Formats: sequence, C-alpha cells, structure tokens
Amino acid sequence: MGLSQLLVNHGLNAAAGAKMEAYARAHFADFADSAAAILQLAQERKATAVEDFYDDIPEGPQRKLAQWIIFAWYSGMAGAGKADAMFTYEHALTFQVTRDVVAIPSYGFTAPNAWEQLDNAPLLPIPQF
Amino acid sequence: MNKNTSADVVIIGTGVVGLTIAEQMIDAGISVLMLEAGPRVYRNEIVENFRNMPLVNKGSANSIYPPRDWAPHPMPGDDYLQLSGPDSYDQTYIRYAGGSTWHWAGTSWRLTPEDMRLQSLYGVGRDWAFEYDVLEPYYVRAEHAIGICGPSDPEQQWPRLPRSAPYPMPALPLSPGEKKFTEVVKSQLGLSNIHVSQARNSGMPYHGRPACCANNNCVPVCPIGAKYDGETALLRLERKGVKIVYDAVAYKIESGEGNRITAVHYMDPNKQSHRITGGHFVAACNGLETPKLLLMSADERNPNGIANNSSDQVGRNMMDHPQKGFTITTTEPYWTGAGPVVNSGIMETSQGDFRSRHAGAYFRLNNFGRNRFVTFNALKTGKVGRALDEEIRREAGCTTNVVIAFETLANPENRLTLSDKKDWLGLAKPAIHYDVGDYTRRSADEYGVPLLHKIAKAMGAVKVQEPKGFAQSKHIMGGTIMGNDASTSVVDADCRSHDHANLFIPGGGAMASTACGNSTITMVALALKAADALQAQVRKA
Repeated sequence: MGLSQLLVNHGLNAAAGAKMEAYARAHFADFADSAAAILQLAQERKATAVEDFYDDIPEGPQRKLAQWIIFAWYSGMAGAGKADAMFTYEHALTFQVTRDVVAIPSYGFTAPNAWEQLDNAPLLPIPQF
Repeated sequence: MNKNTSADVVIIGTGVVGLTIAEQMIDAGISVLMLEAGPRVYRNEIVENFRNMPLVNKGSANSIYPPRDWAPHPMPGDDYLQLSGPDSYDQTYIRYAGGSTWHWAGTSWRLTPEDMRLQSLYGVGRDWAFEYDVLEPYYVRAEHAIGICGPSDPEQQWPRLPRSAPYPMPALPLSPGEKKFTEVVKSQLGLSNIHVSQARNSGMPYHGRPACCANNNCVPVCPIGAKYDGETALLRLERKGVKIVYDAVAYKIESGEGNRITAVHYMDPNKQSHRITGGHFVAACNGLETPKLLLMSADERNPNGIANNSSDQVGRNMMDHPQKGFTITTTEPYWTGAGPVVNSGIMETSQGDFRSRHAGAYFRLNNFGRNRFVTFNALKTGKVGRALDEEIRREAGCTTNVVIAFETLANPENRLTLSDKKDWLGLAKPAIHYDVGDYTRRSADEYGVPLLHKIAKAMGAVKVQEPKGFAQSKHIMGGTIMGNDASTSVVDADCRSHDHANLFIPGGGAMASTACGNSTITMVALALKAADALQAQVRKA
C-alpha cells in the first residue's frame, strides 16, 4: 500500500490493495526488487505525489510495475481484457474522478429525482478523494 | 383440471406480454399455466453478476445473463442465430423468467396515428388493422399496468395529441448533459428534445417497486427494481396462484379437430418431454422464438407450421430499429450518467411527408455514465497523477453517444427460417436473412446522418466518430404480423391466429410498422387488447 500511495495521489481501499499486491507478487517475477527500487527513488526525491518522481522511474521492470499499479487502481482490473482479474469495482478510481456528477453504475446516487439539482459541472476542480 | 398439466389458458413465455395477459386472466378467475424456457433467477444474483463483470464488459447488455444449455439465447460471438443477408439481424434477448425486461431500458414511446397508416398516407409499408384511437385506451392501460412515468405538459408528450388519462407518475428529471443538449438543439436547430416516457418509478414507489435513485444501470439490470421488469411481476403472479413451470422449453404446439390448438409439448433440462393441455393458448416467447416455435410445430393439418396455413407469413417481415451510434467529442462537458440511461429524445424527426421516400429517424443522447467506456483510453495516454485525473474527467464529460434509430418497413424477404443447425436439445436454431432496405438506407444517407452532423456542430463537436453500417436495437418486430386479411397476415386485430380460433400470438411480432420508438409499450397495449378478447372468449367457451 505504501508504494501504491506514492503512485496514486488519492485515498486507497486497503482490501483492493491487498488483492493487487497478491496478484503482483504472483505475476511480476521481480516484484520485490522493483517495488523496493521505486520506493527508494521516491524517498530520494522526498516525493509526496507521483509527479515528484514518476518520470525518473527507469524503463524496464520498474516502469512496467509502476504503470501496472496505476492501471489497477484506476480501472480496478489487472488488464483490459474480459478474462483479466478484477480487484474492485466500486473502489476503482475512475469513478471517483467524476463522483460529483456521475453515478457508479448500479449504486444509488441521489434521493428520488434529486439529480435534478445537479449542475453541468465544469471539468475542474476535480473532487477530493 | 390438473393444475400442473392443464389450465384454461396456457401461456408460453414469461416476458412482459405473457405476464400482462396472465395477470388479467388470474384476476378474472381464469386458471393460467405458464411455461418458461429459462430459469427463475433473482435480482441479487444478476446485480452481483454485473458488479463482478470486468470493466471492459460492463457496457454489454447481456453478458451477465449466461444462457442455460437448454434455453440458448444470443451471446457475443456465438452462432445461436444463423445470420445471412446484406445486414446482420444480430439481436439480443434473454431466455430467463421475465424475458428481456431484465435488460430493456424502459423507454416507452407511443406510436402516432401516422405511424399506423404508412400505406394510406405515404404509399409504403403496411397499414395497421385499426387506427390510433383504438389503441389509445390500451396505451393508457399499459402505462398504468407497468408503471410508465411521463410529462404532464402536452408539448413534452409523444405524440402531441390528447390523452384519455394522464401518466401515473411525473417525468423523471434530466441529467446535466441532457439539459444542456436540450437547450442547444432547441436554440440552434429548433428541435425539441423531450422527456422519454419510461417504465420507471419517478419520485415515488409504484406497484411495490421503489423510486428511481439514479443508479444509471437500467441496462443491463436495474439494481433496485425501480424499472419495470419481470421479476417484480413474477413475484406478484406467483402469489396470486399462477402456475409457472420454469426450465420448460416449448418445442411443439399441437393442433386437433377443427384446427384448434389442443396442447403444448415441452422438454425439461433432462430432455424429458411433457404435454400440457388447455382451452386457450398464448404464444409470447420472444419475437424470434415464437415464429421459430410455430414453424417447428408443422403437422399434417398445418404443413407450413402452426398459424401459417393461410398466409405463409410466419417468420417473415422481421423488423427492428436499425441504429447508428456516434461518439461526439466536445470541448465543454455534457455530463451523462445521472439518472436513467435513456431519458430524453427527439421524436418529431420521425414524422413527415418525407416518409414516402425514406424512413423517419429518432435521435437520442444516451445518458450512460461514460467511465466504463473511456477509462482504458485514458490510461493508454500514459498520464499519471493529476494529469490522469483530468484526462479521465475530460473523456467522461466531453465524449457523448448520440444515436439515430430508424424505422424499417415490413418486407417478407426478411425472414426467419429453421436452420439445419441444432441446439443442445436438438431443436433447430433460428436462421434470419435480413436487409434493412433502401427506405432505411436512404434515410441514413439523405436525412439522419446529415442532421446528426448538424446536431454535433450545434453541440460544439471537435470530433465525430461515425459507425459503419447499422447496429440492431433489439426491438424484434413483424414475425407474426397483424392484418385483417388472412392471406397476408398471421393474426387478426386481437392478435388471434387467423388459422386457430383459440391461439393468440400477441407482442412485437404482430406490429405492422415499427415507427422509430421502442416497441415494448405497444407490445403491452396489444397484449391488453388480446387479453380482453381472450377473456371474453374463455367466458363463452
């Protein structure tokens, strides 16, 4: 979760993170080394957000792992295919980005007919989450 | 009567048509036995299927409804429907108890008087066996039977004609993007984007179902039952004493003396055959499955199939609303994803004297939340952090899906036949030859697509992605077409078979024209009209 929290600038769901870590350990042969290297880089940069160090992650296994972790948190999935593993649906960050104006499909969004009060929100600011 | 093997009325199919008729019969004290090919499932199971479906598949209408071996229905990439012809009649429907009500959007546009007189007014297609004023009271009954909400302002209603009663609930509110779209098309093009009348509870409970809470998941399943679907009706009918046999695949309708229908044969999941007798019969098991069953039931009296002696029209005239869905990118957001997935539309473009040359068209801004469609694209950009957040938000807010749905004409060459390919039970798979026809293609080329581009421009589009060809709307119509002439139609004005006095075949198959609006409300209205005739006939028997 520590690594995830550096790669994603938002509050994260621990249960989903545990599933992602278990998957990553099983599917990334160099997971431990890559994770440690990314963490060390972030600490060297005194990073508080992904923008502080992401561009300096070297291409190769470290970069691949970092990209995958971000992908997993935003999509809730291990990949974009129909057969890929799923870690979470409602905690996938894609839905949090628009939480002020778009329902997470199948979850209740407003009181009956209360979405009438919603404005056509501007693109910015992005909700805090 | 043995309730398990016989009833006054035997109904094949537990979709909205069968359920509507069954309820009227049981309320009138007439015994009913229903046969359903598929399983009885419950909402929690379907909702969990959806929530556990990979994100890439969450836009699919039917992936959360895996078919049972004995009751196959079309699934992405399979070959249950054997398709041929210039266009693909690649439909989706569900063989579960409750039928395709599980994944319909709830959209409930009425036909107009003109829609029912295409031949008289425009010299194309077919006229209906009766006019709009005959259907109007049944529309009202349908609106109350399945709980359709709609606007009280006549300018917002469709058609803009006097109604014999108001909707039972007010219209649902528009999402922010729909409101903006409505303003833009009115101010720049003079077009009216009006509230959809829809079978969804608006601001209040109705018929034991809760009010819509904007879950934005009407397709593939309403998680709370605010939309009409078969599950709520099934619970009610089971309590009222309607006998329903699930996992019972009707494969033969049996005729007897005087060419009356005497029995239905079905197979269970163990491939054991059973025979159900009754006084009257209703075949309402889907717009493709019903004509398939009729054709499979050919016998010595009816060599072309049940209900097919006089006209040879069973399985012909297959129709739909061929559609084109455009992805429009704008710089300013049109937020969709709050409220029902289809919530407004431009219907006035479906009407006009142009119908002597080409089809009408209906335009709608789909109100699906866009995240499920755009997330992977945003991730492909390689952006991270705030830039990724902004990319997802831009793609979710500034891409929209605007759909054109066209009408089609009845054409006997658009035909369902029995394939030599067999399903798990050894029954014929449906084979469908289909061509949307020049009437519809001309509408796309000369009218619909050019107008779509004007709409896109009015919206401030910076990119318009046009699909190739036509997709299907899953509004299956025409296969058991209605008419007053037994030599050219399958059923009469009450959806009674011309060939069998005690067989009713109501639903979308009976529709003689499609117009542009979704067919379910008309199917229910026809079911109620048939139910009145059936009830009177049972009383006389």
